[in-house]
This record gives sequence, C-alpha cells and structure tokens, in this order.
Amino acid sequence: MWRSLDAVREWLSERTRSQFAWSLRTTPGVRFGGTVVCLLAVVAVFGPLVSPYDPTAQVLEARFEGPSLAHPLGTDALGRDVATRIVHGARVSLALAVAATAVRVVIGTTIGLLAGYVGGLVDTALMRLVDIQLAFPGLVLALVIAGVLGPSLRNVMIALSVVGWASYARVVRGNVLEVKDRPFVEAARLYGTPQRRIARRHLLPNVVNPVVVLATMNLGTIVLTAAGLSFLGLGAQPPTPEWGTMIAGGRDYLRSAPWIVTAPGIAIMATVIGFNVLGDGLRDVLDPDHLGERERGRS
Amino acid sequence: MRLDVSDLHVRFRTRSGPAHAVNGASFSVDTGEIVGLVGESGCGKSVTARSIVRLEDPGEITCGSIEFGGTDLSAADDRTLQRLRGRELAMVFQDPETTLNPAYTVGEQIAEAIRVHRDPDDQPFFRELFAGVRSRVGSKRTRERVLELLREVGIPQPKDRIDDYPHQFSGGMRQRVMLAIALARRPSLLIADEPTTALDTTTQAAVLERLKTINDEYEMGLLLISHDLGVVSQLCDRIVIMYDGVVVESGPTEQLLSRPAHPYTKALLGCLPSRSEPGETLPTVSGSPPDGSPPSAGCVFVDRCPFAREGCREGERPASDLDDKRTVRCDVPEAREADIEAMREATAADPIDGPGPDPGDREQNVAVAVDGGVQVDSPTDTTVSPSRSAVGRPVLELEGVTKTFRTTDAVLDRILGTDDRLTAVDDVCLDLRAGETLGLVGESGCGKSTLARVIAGLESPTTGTVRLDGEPVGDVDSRRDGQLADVGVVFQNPGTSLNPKRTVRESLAEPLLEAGWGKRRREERIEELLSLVELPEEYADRYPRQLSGGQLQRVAIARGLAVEPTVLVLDEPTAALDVSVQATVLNLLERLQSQLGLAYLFVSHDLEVVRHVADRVATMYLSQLLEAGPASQVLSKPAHPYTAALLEAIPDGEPMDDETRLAGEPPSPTDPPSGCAFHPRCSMADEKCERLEPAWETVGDANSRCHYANELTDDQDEK
Amino acid sequence: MPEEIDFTMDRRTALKTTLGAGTLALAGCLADSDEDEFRIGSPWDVGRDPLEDGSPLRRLGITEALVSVDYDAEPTPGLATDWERVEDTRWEFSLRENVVFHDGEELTADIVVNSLDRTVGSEAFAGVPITAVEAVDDSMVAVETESAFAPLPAHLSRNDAVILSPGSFEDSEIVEPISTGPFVFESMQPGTELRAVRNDDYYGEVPTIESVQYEVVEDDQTRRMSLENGELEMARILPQETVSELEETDGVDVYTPEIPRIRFLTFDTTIEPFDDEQVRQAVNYAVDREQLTESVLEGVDTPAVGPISPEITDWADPDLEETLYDPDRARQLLEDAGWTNGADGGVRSRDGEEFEIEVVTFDDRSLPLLAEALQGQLADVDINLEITVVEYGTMLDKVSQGSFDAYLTSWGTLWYPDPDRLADMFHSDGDLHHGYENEEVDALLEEAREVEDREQRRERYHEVQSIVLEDAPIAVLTSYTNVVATAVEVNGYEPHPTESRYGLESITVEEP
Repeated sequence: MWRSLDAVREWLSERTRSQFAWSLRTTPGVRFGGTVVCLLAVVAVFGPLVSPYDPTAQVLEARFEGPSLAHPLGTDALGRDVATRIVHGARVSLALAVAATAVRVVIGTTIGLLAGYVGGLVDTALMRLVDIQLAFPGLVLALVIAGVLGPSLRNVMIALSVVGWASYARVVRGNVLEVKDRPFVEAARLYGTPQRRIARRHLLPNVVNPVVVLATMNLGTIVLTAAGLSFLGLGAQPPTPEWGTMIAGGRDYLRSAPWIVTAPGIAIMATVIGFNVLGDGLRDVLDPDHLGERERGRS
Repeated sequence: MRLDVSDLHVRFRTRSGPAHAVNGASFSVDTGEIVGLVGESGCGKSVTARSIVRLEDPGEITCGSIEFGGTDLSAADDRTLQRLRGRELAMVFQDPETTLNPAYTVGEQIAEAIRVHRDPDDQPFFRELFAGVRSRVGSKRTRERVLELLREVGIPQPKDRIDDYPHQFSGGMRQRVMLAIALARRPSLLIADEPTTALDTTTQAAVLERLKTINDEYEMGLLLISHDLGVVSQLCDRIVIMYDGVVVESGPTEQLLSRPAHPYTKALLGCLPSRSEPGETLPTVSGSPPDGSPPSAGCVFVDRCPFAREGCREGERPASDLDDKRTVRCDVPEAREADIEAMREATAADPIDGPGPDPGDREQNVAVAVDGGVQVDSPTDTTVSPSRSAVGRPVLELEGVTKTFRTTDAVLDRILGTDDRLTAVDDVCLDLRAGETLGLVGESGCGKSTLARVIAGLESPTTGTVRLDGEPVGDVDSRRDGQLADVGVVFQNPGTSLNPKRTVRESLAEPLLEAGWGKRRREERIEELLSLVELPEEYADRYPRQLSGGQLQRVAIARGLAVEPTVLVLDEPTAALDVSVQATVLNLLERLQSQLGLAYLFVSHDLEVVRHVADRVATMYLSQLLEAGPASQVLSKPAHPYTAALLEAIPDGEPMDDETRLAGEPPSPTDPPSGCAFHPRCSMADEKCERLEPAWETVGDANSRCHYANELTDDQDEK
Repeated sequence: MPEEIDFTMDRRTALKTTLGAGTLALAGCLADSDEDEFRIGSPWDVGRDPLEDGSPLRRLGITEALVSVDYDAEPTPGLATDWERVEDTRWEFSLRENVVFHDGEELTADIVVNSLDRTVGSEAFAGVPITAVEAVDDSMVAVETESAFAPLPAHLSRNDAVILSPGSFEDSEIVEPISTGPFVFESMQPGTELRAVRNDDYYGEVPTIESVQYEVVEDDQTRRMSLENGELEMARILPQETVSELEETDGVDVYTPEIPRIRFLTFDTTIEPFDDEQVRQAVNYAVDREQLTESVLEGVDTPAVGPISPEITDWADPDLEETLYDPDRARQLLEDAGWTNGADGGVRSRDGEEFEIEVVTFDDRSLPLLAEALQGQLADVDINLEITVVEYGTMLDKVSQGSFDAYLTSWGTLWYPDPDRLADMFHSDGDLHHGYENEEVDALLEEAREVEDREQRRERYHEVQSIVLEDAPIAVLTSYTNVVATAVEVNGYEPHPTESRYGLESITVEEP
C-alpha cells in the first residue's frame, strides 16, 4: 500500500508546495487559533497605550461598579477599571509565557540535541535528568520552586522555565535520534562537516517543527499555570494586574460583583484555547507525518 | 470462488480536491488462478487491492463493482465483510516488519486467525478483553494446526519457533508468518501486495516458490501485486498491467511478455536491464509519470506514448479484446503491433516529447539519444568507453580489510571485555581502477554495505588498510580534504539521503563549502552539476519534497560528484526506484562514468542491474568475498556455488534448479560456521568444506573461494 | 500564640476545602436533618485535645476552665468560684461544689491539678511562669508562680486551660474530651465536624438546644450560602463585604460585634527607613484610617489608633488622639527626616536612595486588599510600597528573621482577658520583632504585670499606650469586627467579646 499512498501524499505535497502559507491559512485550527492569538498580541502590545485608566490607580469611591460605558468591564474592590487591568494583564501573561517558553525551548532543545547526537553516557545522564523531571508533577514542582524563591512574577517565570523543558528535550532527542542516522547526515560527515555544523545545519532544522507545535501549545499552558500560581498568591504581587491575581482578588465578590472574576477568567480561557487550537492546527500543517500516522493506523 | 472487478473507481478526498487513485480497473481472478497486477508507483494497484478487501479508507469507492463469489463487496455490509475476510479473503502486505504485532508471539497471531476463521461472526468484545491476557495457542488442537501452518509456509523447526516473537525472525521468515496467518483462514483468494519487495533475491525466490506450492495445494486464487515484472512472470498465469489507475492490458503471462500489445507494457518491458546488453543505454519511458489528477479524456498514457495520435486524446479508450484471453486499452494498430524494438525507436524519434502539462515536474528524458538499441550513440561514446577497459594504477585498494562491531553497547560489558564481536567484513582485498565499475553483490546482512561505508570512511576498518591513490586513509575525521574529495557516495534511498529542509542548491553547496570553495566557484559548480545530471537549473531552489524519486537520486548523484571524486560509492542506488526510473538513473551513471572517467563501486542485491553496469563483480557472503572476477565471466559461468545460487534465484519464469537452489537462511554472523562459510547451504558441500576454509582459486579471469571452483565451471561447460 | 493560628487560612486550603465543603453541603441536603439540631459553620478546625484545635470544644460549652470570661472581657468565676492572691507568687482557687463531669466523675482538686499539670507543661503555657499546681484540700487548688504575676487568672481562663476528667485520657492521649460544660461531646471528624448533646445535669443554666453540630466550612462563601439555604443556624467569621447584603437577606440576622483585635503595621525599627521615629510617625499620619474602614472594610470595622479598643474595656487609654490623618504633617515629617522629592513629585529619596519599602502580609481575608489600599494612600505622600503576600507561616519566618521593612497583620489584644498582652507587643522581649526598645515602656509593663491593684495597673498600661503611639513601633490601623449571622429563628445570641464561648445555653430557636 505504501507506494500508492505515498504517491497520493507526494502528490498532495506537490500541490501544496510553495503554498505553505496557503495551507496555513486554510487550516481551520490555524485560522481560529491564529486570530485569537494575534488579537491577544495586539491587545497586549497596543492595549496599554490606548486604555484611558491607570491599571493600579485606586478610586475608592468607585468600588464595585458594574459594567458601564465608562468602565466596560466594571471596577474592582479598589475601584480600578477591570478592562484596563485585563489589557495590562495580557501583556504580563503573554510576556511571561513567551519568556518562560523561550527558556524552556532553549534548555530543552540544547539538552535534547546533546543527548540525541552525542549519545552514550551523556545521553543516559541527561535523559535520567529528564525522567526525574517528568516524574515530578510539573505544577507541584513549580509551586515548590516558586514557594522557595518567594512570591514574585520573576520567580514564577523561573519556576515555569525550570520545570517544563523536559518534554522539549524528549521530543528533540527523539527526532534527533531519528534524523541522525539518516543518510543525509552521513553524507554531511563524508565531506568533512564538523559535528557542530551538522547539528546546526542538519539536525536542528529537522526538529524545529515539533518544537514549534509543542511551544505553541505550551504557551497556553504556561499562561494557565502562571495564572494558577498567581491565584495561589505565588505569582504577581498586588497591584500588578495579572489575570490569576485578579481572579484571586475577585473571588470573594463572586456574588456581588461577578465581573471581577469573569473577565480574567474568560481572558485566560480564550488564551489557552487560542494557543491550543493554533498548536493543533500548526501540527497538522507542519507535521504531515502525524497525519500519516492516522492513515497508517487504519491499515 | 471467482473475483470480478469491474470498472472500479477509487477517489481520495484531499484538501485540494479529490485525487483519483483508481479510474476504472477491470479484471478477474479465477479459482486457483494466479494473477499478477503490475504497475509502477502510484498507478493505483495497491489501492485496488485494498479496495477488494474493503480497506480503501481513506479513499472511497465511487463507481464500479467488486464481485466475489457472487457477493458485491463494494456494497457489502460489515458483517458480510467480516465473514468473508475471516474465511475467504486473505491479504498479505508488503512490509513484514510492520504488519506483525511485535507484542505477541507468532504462534499467537496465527492462532488468532484460526479462531476468526472458525467463528468469524462471534467476536464478543468482552471475551476479546480477556483473550488479550490469555494465550490462544493453549489448546492442543489449535497448536497442532499452527505448527502445521508454519511447516506449510516453510519455517524450519516450527516447534522451536512457534513461541518466538516477530523480532526473532528474519524478514523472509516474517513474511512466511504473514503467509501462515493468511492461510490459516483457508482463503479461496489470497491477495499479496508486494510480498517480496522488501526481501533479498534469494529469500524472494523461496517465498515465491512457497506461494506457488500453496496455490497448487489449496486451489486458491492468488492476486499478486508487484512492480517487478520478473517476479510476476515467474509465478503468474495471467498478468494485469495498470497505469494511472487504469488497466491498460491484461492477458496470459507468456503472451503478454512475448507479444505485449499496449505501448506502456512495451515500455515497461524495455526498461528491464535484463533485456539489454550490459553497458548498453537502457530504453526509458519518456514523459512524466501520472500525478493522480482527475482523469482527462482520452488515453491515460497519451502524453508518454510515441504512437499517440490526435484521436488518442479524445474519448475514453475502450478495452478491446485481442483474443478471448487478452484485452488491451489501445486502439492504435501500429502501437499494438509494434514490437519492443520498434517501440524504442519510436520513443527515440518521438516528436511529441515536448513539454507536458507541467514541464517542471517532468522526468527529464535521458533517452534522447537512443537510436534503436544495439548501438549506443551518445557523444562521449564515440570514443572508446574507458569503462570497458580500465587501466592504470588502482584508485582504491583494500588490503585485508576487516570490520567488527560490538554486539552490545553496555558499559559493563566493555569494561569486562565480555562483549561478543560481530564480524561484518572479514579480510577483504579489492581494488578499483579509474573508469571501472565493480559490482558488489550479496544477500542483505552479508556486509556489503558495511564495506561500502568503510571505503567511504563512515567506519574505520578494525584491521587492514584502505588506500586511496596509493595512500592509506582512515575514517572521514582523519582524511585530508583532498582525500575526502576523492570518494563520493550515493545512498540507497534518495528520499532520506537529502536533508528535507535544505534546497537542492544548499545540499549541493555543502560539500563545496566544506572543501573551501568560494561563493562564485560554488555557484558555477552547482550549475555544472545540475547540467551533468540533466536537471534544469531552476531545480536548484526546490526542496526535496518537490522532486520525484528519480530526480532526487539525480541530486544525490550530483552531490556525490560535487568535489570531483575519482571514486563513486553507489549503495543500492536504484533499489528504491521504479523500473523506468531505474533505467534513466542507470543510463545517467553510465554516461557520467564515460564522461568523467569515474570508478564506481556499485553495491546491489539485484544481479540483473549489476550484470548491466559492472565490469567486474565481487560476491560477498557472510562478511567474506567468495568470488571476484569480470562480470561477463562471473555472471555467466560462476566459479562459486553461491554466485550460482544467486543467479538461479533471479525470477525469470524458469523453474528452479534443485541443485543450486539456496537452502535455508544465512547463518548468524556472530557465530559463523567453520570451514567454508557457505557450506551449510551449499548443495556441493562435503566434509572437506566443513573442515577447511577454502583458499582463493583462480578460474579463468576470476578468483573463487571454493574447493571445487574448477569442477563447478567444468560442469557448466558440459551443460 | 495558638489563637493566632486560627486566622491563618491561605487560599490553597480554601481551594482544597471548597470542594470538600461542597460535598459536605450536598451530603447535608441528603441527610435527614435533625430538627432540633443547632448547626454552626465556622472555618476553624476541630480537635479532641484542648491543646490542639480545642477552641471549638470550649466555645460550644463542652469544656470549662477554672476561670471564665464575662461579657466585659474580664475574668469571672468558672469552675473556681473564687480565687485569692495569698502571696505575691501564690494563688488559691476555691472549686465550685457539686460539679460532676460528663462521665459522672466528681470535680476534685486532684483532678484539677492533674488536668492543669498537663496544660502547664505544654508548649502553649511556656510563657506563663507557673512553677507548681497543687491541691490544698479537696476543694482548693493552689498555683505557684515564679514571679509576681497578676495576669494568672486570665491565663487560667484560656481555652487550653480547661479541666478534663481523668476518663478523658488513655495513656496521656485524649480519647474523648470529658469536661463539665452544658454540652457533652458526642463525636467528631477532624476537618469536618464536631457534635455535642445537651448536658441535662449541668450545674448552671441548662440549654434549650438539644444538640449542636459544629461544621468546619473553610470557604466563606460556602458558609454564607449554607446559612442562606437553611443548612446552618449560625455562620461565623463572614467577610465584611457580606454584611450589607446579609442585612437585606430575609431570614438572616447579622451580628457585628467588635472584638479586641487590631489590624496594624509593624515597622522594623532597626533599619532604614523605619529606624527614624519621624518616618514611622509620618506613615501613621499618612494613613487615612477612615477611608480604609469605609471602603475596603465596608464600614463594618472602625478606625483604631491604639492597641486596645475603648469600646471593649477600660484598659484602653481614653486620651489617645482619635484621628491621626494629616498628610501634610506626614510630608513635613518626611522632609524633616531628609526624605525629599523633586518638583515632579516622584518617589521620595534620601542620599540617592528611593523610599521604597516592602510590606509583607499574609493571605487572610481583608489584609491583602487593605495593603493595596494602603499602597494607594502612601503613594499620596510619595512613598513607594511593594506588597508581598505570603502564607502566614512564611510571614512569621520572614519576620522572625528580621528580613522585612514592615508587615501588616492582625492580633487579638485580649485573647486572655488581661492587658499584659501589651507586653507581647511592646516589651523589648515581645513577639512582634519590631526591634523597638524603650526602657520606660519595659519598666511600666514589668511593674504592671506584678502589681495587684487594678487602678495602678491601668495607669501604667495607659502610659504605655500613649508612649507607643508617639514612638510608633507599630501603626495601628483598624479595629476588628466579627461578622456572625444566624437564622432569624435564632434568639438570645449574645456575641462574646473574647469569643471564649458562643453562649449556646441562652439561645433558643423558634419553630419555623
């Protein structure tokens, strides 16, 4: 069956080649997730520039005001504009997620590359390290780290960077192992390419796709986890507008002023869904093998 | 029961519209008949086969019927299908590596098939859950039947193997297990999809023979799907040729092979290296292979057919009966009557070999200069081809090269020194001169690829010396730039030997960059290389996924040639290619050799290909060279029983000779037999062979490592 | 400070128990609810041992101590009908006669001595200088102290100084808290509930309520909803912001008794910037306490400047300034101390160092919000305040290591009914870690601890209160109101100032 299915797939990729962008645009996941994420990014970058309120300015006379024209999402327990805080919170959440993901990717990819390409004892040692980390429940470990380091956004970022790289290392190592014995890597050795350059030129580009997919999905998870840690009081400290902190601060007023909790709740939900759907879509586009596996599963 | 497929259409839904995999296939398989379904990659033969057992998903049958024993399978419900699959219809897939479940013993997997056969309707979910944990080969009756099946498919000592897991079996043995699973259902029709493609020639021969025996014994219909006309012609009563989802010709094997009617059949037969003289440029099929686009009006082959007329482009070609047994989908009388030679001439003179629908994708026509077959008339060939008369100092010498591997990677074993060592290459001496092609043949696992890797420098020899231009060299890390440049390598699978993330230009530039070439010089060289391998310049900016298999191999060859090597190591360079593409690549290699005076080390398991390209042949078995000598002599009058056995195993439609046939499988290289390595499988072996390792004997121009080398050739002379 | 632990509930516990409470609430709906059962919902956990989570036992009226606390937050006879300071360091307590434990055992001096020995030897009493407890005769118990110790009766009124019958113990472990109160322990599930039934043989006023169920419901909102749904008769420690809504809710009565407890900011007086008295005073003047109580505390709590509320007891110094808010004076004080800012009005600085302080607080109900409001107010005088919200334990660690500029917390000021508590706050050996040392204050506190005469003690304590207001090692911010709500059918509930009892024996429940 290989030949014909491969041919169909080959033909497909012929059709869609150089139309990578096109296939990006037509994948529903990418479209939806991408829109949500782009919107978030725009809000995070430009929102604070246009919002009329100071996110930390207290107006104690105007506490618990319901949604109105002046305050589209109402005000909180200290009379601060919830909408403004959401917008500033997007900046905090996204910046943290991007930074933590970047650190994870760098650490994870480096370790994965090293383990996969060098192999031997290095591989064994690094992978045991990865195993140890994966054996720990990530949130609990992050909780402990953030708890030990003390509550602050920076520490949450450190905690989230330190715990999440293992899955990247795993994925990268797996892909490197698969790729490093491919003839094109041997071919590179044949004309005397040094190892460093082989890793950079031949291995890295071939492990990028799963990393991109993983990172995208991870962004959502990190936003959620960071909000969770902040909710537990380990993250952003008042008066920093952070979604998790906002929910924590608003939950006592759930009945009398539900908007305080609802708005950041929806923001977190939209972010997580946006990133996850985008990640799923990206996987479909970037990783046709994944699609192939589904087909294979049926045979 | 008779299988009738008529006007079958199968379509795949894809993002960019439907892909038509099968566009009206019609054929039948009678009870007890063996029918071969032949075509190149993507012609729809596998989809057809899968549609018959209704595994066409994710495709869908849009039109046509599949009648089997009076039931229309295309409309059958799941229950009926389940019963039919359990009892009447069986299928064997191409790759035994992936179709056996690694988690169960083979006995278990065969027993499961027996159970399904006994009671195809009764498979309660809950019992299945529990069945997963308890053995199915428990009952004596089932066990007996499993053993019987294992014996039937030719697995030696079935009692010892029944509880083994798939990974403990070799590829050929696994395919036999698959066969046993299929036979457990006592099917009335067995569909075998490329059952021997992944196997060695010798193993292939054994499996094919087994299929034949079983077909006789069981009175079972057999639909054999293959891209290999050789395989099909050996076994089949009738052959069905498919092209672009359409059956273009069908008929009894002998008639079809001797008097093919459809131009495509003729082209396909023409491409076979066995049909051409060694060294001769192979005929090829011009134009690009089909791409699964919606069926256009007219003949599917029209774009590549030298006999195409205006009328061929319009209207469906009806299948016309040549006689009561043969049908052909071509109504141009000249085309039908032309013989293969005439077909070649017509191809050469083909005026419509202009741009097709998508000229960029077209396989470049290498056959432009073919003039009719016997005489080769390409410009470089006007001079005396150096490939036929290699002279001078060897560019590559191997002296007593031995390569061993650890069988375990455990640190403790290494420290204790308790690790076994596996000898992959044992004391090999070879030399290679400029302009010469040395064919290295042998079954898989014999060490020929390792030898190629040692030469390339990807492995360093454990003992012995590799000399390039007289200078000893180590592995790539210790070779000087010039020495690195001396050896180019082309790998088996072009799909994996090129980095999918790098354009053709980047891939070609890399060896140049490493060799320190300047930008300008690189650009020029890349242009030059592309024209050497006959690829248009604009391909430089394409990615591997945008190229066909043949084009990829051209790029790989171009990369191998980039820094102007003197030796090109070709490791099964055409094994992953279709016959027609193989022909173009072989032609290209031939031309490059005469043009550049390269020395080729051509590693292959395909003796027909080797016969076609090689000046000298070396036969390798169990890490040793057994015979080496001029191709003409070795491949016609082998001086070693192993070479003889390899030749015998080539499917050629003739019954096997029991005397030279290979018995069993190669022994494990970790535990080689004493005396002559080949003696356990040799029909001529006697007590001396068991004891004494034979020394090299000279027979004519060849050398052989057999005690009875001379007797063997004398025998052949007598015959 | 075992009582303090009560006020530490972090969100994690809240999260954890919300689920549990929800399940419980559901179970409550399904269970056949006993009509005559009086159900109280409170966040504090229950325990068998008076020394560990034993407060509910006392509050429900299961356990009793030699000394009780009356509604003016003064020691009053309990199991001891009378006591006398026979010497400076020796007290004699006359036991109530004809008192019988729930298991039938009669109250004797020996039993009291045994029970108190256990208490005195415990960690909780480490700071109480009792050297011996002995039986003088069958109905008289003597307590010896190391030094003259006026607050002794107050300490013997504590929830951990209750008297237990010998039948309560098995190998010095408490298997069942058997005491003498108006209710008899029936069963308990740590973290969940405590049940008690009426003691019909009680020597005092026999309650009308037949049985009590104390439910541990950590989440505020759950407690409130349970009350509104009729699953509780009384819900305790509700958030301030629910008061106005509950007042409008039919079927619910709200009680907002002020309790002797304050929220205050403690300064580290040993390091910059709060080593400067002027700076501490500046903060004191910069805080608009009125605004804090009216906004984030919903007008339920009242501003406070001194540690003890004059509303509750006359231990409080009545001459303290009532309101301190004066931002201009605060700015002036800061200027004088060298903390200046430019015309642009940015954060103050001195010698190039910005006035930036970290205020640590813990995740109690109103404190983080109060801290944020405080942050806003201090920003008005150009002080930059950074808030770190941690768990109570973490805050204690931080504070005891002295790694803080200031911290915001709340303390019960009369949890044993004696102003000696001020020593814990302001004596140089106190527990607040502010590093404040004032010999005069130390001397006044030590004298007040020793002298017997109430008037003399009061003078000294008033003196202390006015000195510390001036020196400002802490800035008292607000008083504390306990929000309790009951079903409207509940009559006769009188909130107790030190919360040593719920006063269930005087409560009646109308038939709905």
